[in-house]
Amino acid sequence: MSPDNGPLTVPHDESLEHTILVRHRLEEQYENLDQQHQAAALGMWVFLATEVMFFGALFLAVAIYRFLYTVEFEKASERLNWMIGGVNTLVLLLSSLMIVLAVHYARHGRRKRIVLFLGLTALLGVCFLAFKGLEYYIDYQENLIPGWRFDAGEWVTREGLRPDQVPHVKLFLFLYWVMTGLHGLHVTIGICVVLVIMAMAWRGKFSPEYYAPVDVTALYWHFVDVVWIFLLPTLYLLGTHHW
Amino acid sequence: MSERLLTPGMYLIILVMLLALTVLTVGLSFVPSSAMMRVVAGQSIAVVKASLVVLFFMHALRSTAQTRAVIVVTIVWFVVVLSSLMLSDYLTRGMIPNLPGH
Repeated sequence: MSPDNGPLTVPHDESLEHTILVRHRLEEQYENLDQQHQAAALGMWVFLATEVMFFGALFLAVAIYRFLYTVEFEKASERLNWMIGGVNTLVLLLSSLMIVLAVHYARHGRRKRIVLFLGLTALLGVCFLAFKGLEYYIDYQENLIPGWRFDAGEWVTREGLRPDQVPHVKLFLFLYWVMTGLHGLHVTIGICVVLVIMAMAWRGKFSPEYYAPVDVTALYWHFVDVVWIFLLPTLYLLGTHHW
Repeated sequence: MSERLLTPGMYLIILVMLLALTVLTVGLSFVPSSAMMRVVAGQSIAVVKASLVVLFFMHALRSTAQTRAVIVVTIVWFVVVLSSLMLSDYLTRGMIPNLPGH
C-alpha cells in the first residue's frame, strides 16, 4: 500500500474538498447534480408557498371589504389607471417568456442566449417599474394618496358618495398602495437577482448539467408575475370602465 | 432537470394565450354587468392565466412528486381552506337577524 492512499496523506486539493474554502457545484449531501437541482427547486416552491400566504392575506382583505363596501370600492377602482395596469400586465407576461427562454437555453448550454434573455427579463422588469412610477405620479396628481394627497370633498361632490363612505375609499386606496408597493418591491428584488444570475451566466458558470440557479430564479420571477395577474382584476377591474 | 420540456415555439403559444386573456379581462370591464359577475369573470380569467404560468412556464407539469405536493398543499390549505373559512364568517354576518354582537 503506497503512502498516498493513507488516510492522512490525501492529495492537497482533495483535502480542501467539502470545506467552505472550496465550493463545488455539487454539495456533499447530494448524490448528483440532478438531485441537488430538484432540492433547490423544492426549496424555492416552499418559499413561494409562504409568499402565497403573505399576499393571500391582502387579497382576502380586498375581497372582504369589497363585499362590505361594494359601491365605494368600485368607484375607487374606476379611478385607478387601468391602461397602465393593463400594459404592465403585458410587460410582465412578456418578461416571463424571456426568463423561460433563458432557462430553455441554459438547459442547452447556450451561454450568450442565457445572458441575452436574462438581460431582456431585467429590462422588461425595469420597464414595469417605470410604468408603475408614471402611474404613481398620475395618482399623486389625481389626489389618490390617502394621508398625503387626498380630497374627501371631491368624492362627495363628483362621485356622489356620502361623507361617511369616504373612509372606505381611503381603505381601498390604502390596500392599492400596499399591494402594488409590495409587488413592486418583489419586482425590484427580482431584477437584482436576475442581474446577478446574468453575470454568473456571462462568466460561464452554467452548463446543461448545472443551471439550477437560473431555474430557481425563473420560478421566483414567474411567481411575481402570477401575483400581478391577480392584482389586475382585484384592484383595477372592480368597476365598469367607460371610454 | 427533466428531459421532455417545451420548445420555444410552445412557450410563445402560451404567451399569446396569456396576452389574449389579458385583453379579454380588461375588455370585459367595459361591459356593463352586475358587481358579482365582474368579480367572477375577472378572478376566473386570472385563475386560468395563473394556471398557464404555473403549469407551463414554471414546469409544474414536469416537476417532482415533492414539488407537486407543495403546490397542491399551498393551493388547498393556504388559498382554498383559509379563504373559505374567512369568507364564511364575513359573508354570512347579518344573515341571522337579532344575533347579539352584530
